[in-house]
Amino acid sequence: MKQSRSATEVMFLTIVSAVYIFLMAPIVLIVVLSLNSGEFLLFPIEGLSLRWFGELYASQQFIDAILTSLQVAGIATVVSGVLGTAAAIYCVRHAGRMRGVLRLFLMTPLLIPEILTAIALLFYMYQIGVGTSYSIGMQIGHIVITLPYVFMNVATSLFNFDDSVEEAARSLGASPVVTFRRVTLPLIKPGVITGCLFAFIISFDIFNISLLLKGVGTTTLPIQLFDYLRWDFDPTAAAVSAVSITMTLVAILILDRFVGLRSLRF
Amino acid sequence: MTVAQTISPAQRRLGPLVLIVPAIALLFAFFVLPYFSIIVMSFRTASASAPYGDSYTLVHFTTALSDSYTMGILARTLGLGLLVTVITLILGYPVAWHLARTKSRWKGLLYTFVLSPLLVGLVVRTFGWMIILSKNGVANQSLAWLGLTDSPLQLMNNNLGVTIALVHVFLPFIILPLLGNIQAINPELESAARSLGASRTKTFFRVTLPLSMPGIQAGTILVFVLSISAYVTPAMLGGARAKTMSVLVVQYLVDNFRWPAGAALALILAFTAIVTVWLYFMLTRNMTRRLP
Amino acid sequence: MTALNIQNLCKSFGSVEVLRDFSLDIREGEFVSLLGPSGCGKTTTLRCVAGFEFPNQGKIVFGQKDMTYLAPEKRDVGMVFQSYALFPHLTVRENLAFGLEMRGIATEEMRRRIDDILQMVQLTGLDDRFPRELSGGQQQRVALARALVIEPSVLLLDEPLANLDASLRDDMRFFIRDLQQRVGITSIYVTHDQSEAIVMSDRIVVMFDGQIAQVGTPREIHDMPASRRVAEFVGRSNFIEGTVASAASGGMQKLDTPYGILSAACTSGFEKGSKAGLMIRPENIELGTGKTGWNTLNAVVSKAVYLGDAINLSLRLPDNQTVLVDAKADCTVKSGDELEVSFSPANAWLLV
Repeated sequence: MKQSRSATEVMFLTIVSAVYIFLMAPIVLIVVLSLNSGEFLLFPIEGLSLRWFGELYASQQFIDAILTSLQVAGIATVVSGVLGTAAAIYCVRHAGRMRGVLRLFLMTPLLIPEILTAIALLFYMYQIGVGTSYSIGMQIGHIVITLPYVFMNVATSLFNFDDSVEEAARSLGASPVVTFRRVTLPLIKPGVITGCLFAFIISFDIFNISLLLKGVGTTTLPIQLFDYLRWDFDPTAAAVSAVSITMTLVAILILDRFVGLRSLRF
Repeated sequence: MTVAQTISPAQRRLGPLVLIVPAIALLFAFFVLPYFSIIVMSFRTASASAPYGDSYTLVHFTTALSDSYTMGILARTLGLGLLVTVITLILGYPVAWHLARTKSRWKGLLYTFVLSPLLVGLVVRTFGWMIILSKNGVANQSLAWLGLTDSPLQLMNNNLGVTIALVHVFLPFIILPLLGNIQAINPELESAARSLGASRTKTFFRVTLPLSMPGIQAGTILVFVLSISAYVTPAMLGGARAKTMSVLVVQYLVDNFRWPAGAALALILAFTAIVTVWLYFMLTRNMTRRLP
Repeated sequence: MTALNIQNLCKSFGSVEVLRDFSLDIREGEFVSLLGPSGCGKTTTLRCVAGFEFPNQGKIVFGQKDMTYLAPEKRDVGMVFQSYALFPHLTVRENLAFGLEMRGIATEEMRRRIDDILQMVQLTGLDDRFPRELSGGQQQRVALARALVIEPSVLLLDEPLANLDASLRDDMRFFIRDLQQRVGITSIYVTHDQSEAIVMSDRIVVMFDGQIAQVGTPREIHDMPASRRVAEFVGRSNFIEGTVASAASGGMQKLDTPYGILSAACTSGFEKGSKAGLMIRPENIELGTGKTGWNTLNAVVSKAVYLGDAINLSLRLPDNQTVLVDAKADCTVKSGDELEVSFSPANAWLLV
């Protein structure tokens, strides 16, 4: 190519590269430091070691927190998955003129800051007498926040869905239920799976709602890490974070293999 | 061979409703109604023995609005929000443009770079910034090694640290809407402008930028609202010197058990956000008026 | 005087060679079409002339200036895009003014030029509308006007009629051609539609696989194609195979075929005894014995398809080869009929 890069192009690419590095730097740092054999969260690292993951494994608090997070996320994903998919099917297929309003309504938990929703739920739970017992409020809050993600992804994959496939099935003698099970469901599976994966990851990372609504004696991983960091500043925290990061990366890889990252919707 | 099924008109209309009712009911019961709770709570009286008392009052609002400390925090929160929004826009637009137009085979990887911070979790990311910004952190170490500083800079527990971390947290939130918007702009429009004699810069300012206004609008509003209500990042990185409204509210609720006062503060914050966004809409309305 | 000179243009994308040694001289005021199937390199050539691609080898010269590696905004071209590429956030007038603003034209002159061009494309009064408020045909004319109002040296059109309805397309072909002739601007037109190229062009460049297959006037391309591929691309054709029976004389040659000796027009270079194909187009075959000296064939009708303005006959020759013939709509021939068809040797063309 005879064309050489102009000065503005070089400057542009430098800024862009700097931002990409900026985006990944903290995450990469954490992973590197979690493997530090030394005592401190400092560079350069002294050596490579898995000792901090060992500390994490030995810490009952963190293990409990991880298990709680997994459980809450699991339940939230299942409930949001079912409710969100059903709602998406209704909105795209049956809603008619109400479609826009319903869509907006179902997306509102995403548009309003999570801290406000957390506060609202806290007061509400107390006013209906439940309070923070059994962390029900927290579980419900997770479901409310994750629902829009499932809804959006399923709705999008339905928009791209050709109705005539269902009509063909019906003309061949399949009842609505059978059509749904054998034609519709398989075709919207990518959207459902994407939405559920998103729901899981988002729930796992939720902080504000967990902070205000968790019951006594329960804690989720983000909260536990937050508390830990108030007093201690060592690579154990990095190990915990690295576990969280790895989970996310695995989820992203699954998503990319399955559907391609470009089809995701926020 | 299935028996012929007749569906009554009522069944046809109401049958599908069963799909949407659970979701609507859930949101109504546990999202809409709770918000009324905040409003009600903000008018309740305080109580020494319980989070809130039995009767109603306006005192929380009047105290908050006349308290210079509280108003100072509100002002800082808004200022922080504005600053973060502007910085993310300046840094995020080039990235969005690059990602939309690049033909590099690393496009997918770069997209992951933008996406993954979102999914990694706020506490983890803020922790990462603690590592970088602390007195012995990576930033100070690098500066010292490069010979640019004699003693460590105060990069944490102040507005600077919070700003940097918030920019990091919300960059993806501005890049993604912008990316979608720019990708939707017909690339032939830019070719047409150049064939008519416009340089790359002129093409950007006269064609690309105006057509990406909807994305800019959506992204900046999102980032602004999210950054003024952020809790985790200011809580971990702001310390006592850079408190934001959310930190104060949580303190009232969790540490001090002053629920009505906390509710009032939350509402003041929400109201300010709504007013600011509305003003912004009004001011930028002209810029999107011409667009399809 | 040559307005545009393209020399030995080569372009590859990665390992894919898209343009091979493309050379063309275009005269001032000439309307040249680049015609070929998708992927033949015609759009790449246009984009190289416009400056959106840079060739790996070769030169592009406007008049005296070498433009090969100049940025698009520095070339003096007007381009009409397939999607029209009208700026959606600007009115028609502002769209037209864009190129003039880039050239620093004074406001008064700008207004005059825009009013003139609006009149030329018959869109006066619509200058305050936004593109989305106009019909497809109107948008097309705005795109044309925007390219012409800057008075460029060369007009480039990239399949501009592809998105229009069939009837509108026919009207627009004449419209564009008339306008081009009135203004007298050198134009390069890319299309895959052969009837479009034939109607509009002074010369046609037929391209296959990145190379030029033939350059000529529409009549030359249609009646005297350089190869079978060109013949088949630029209209329907029948081929009758045979052996060259004698030396050429007076631009004609005799071909020894299974159906007798047939005469055809040809270029030089066919040796006696070599194999060749006789091309005759369905519209040039008539029913019946025809005039003296005409070639005749005996055949049986296998299919007669009514097209509204004609009847398309499929005829089976004695050895089961099929020949297509266009007959008048009132023809009463039907499947199974035996008949004689004939055609003038002047309309037959010999190809390798």
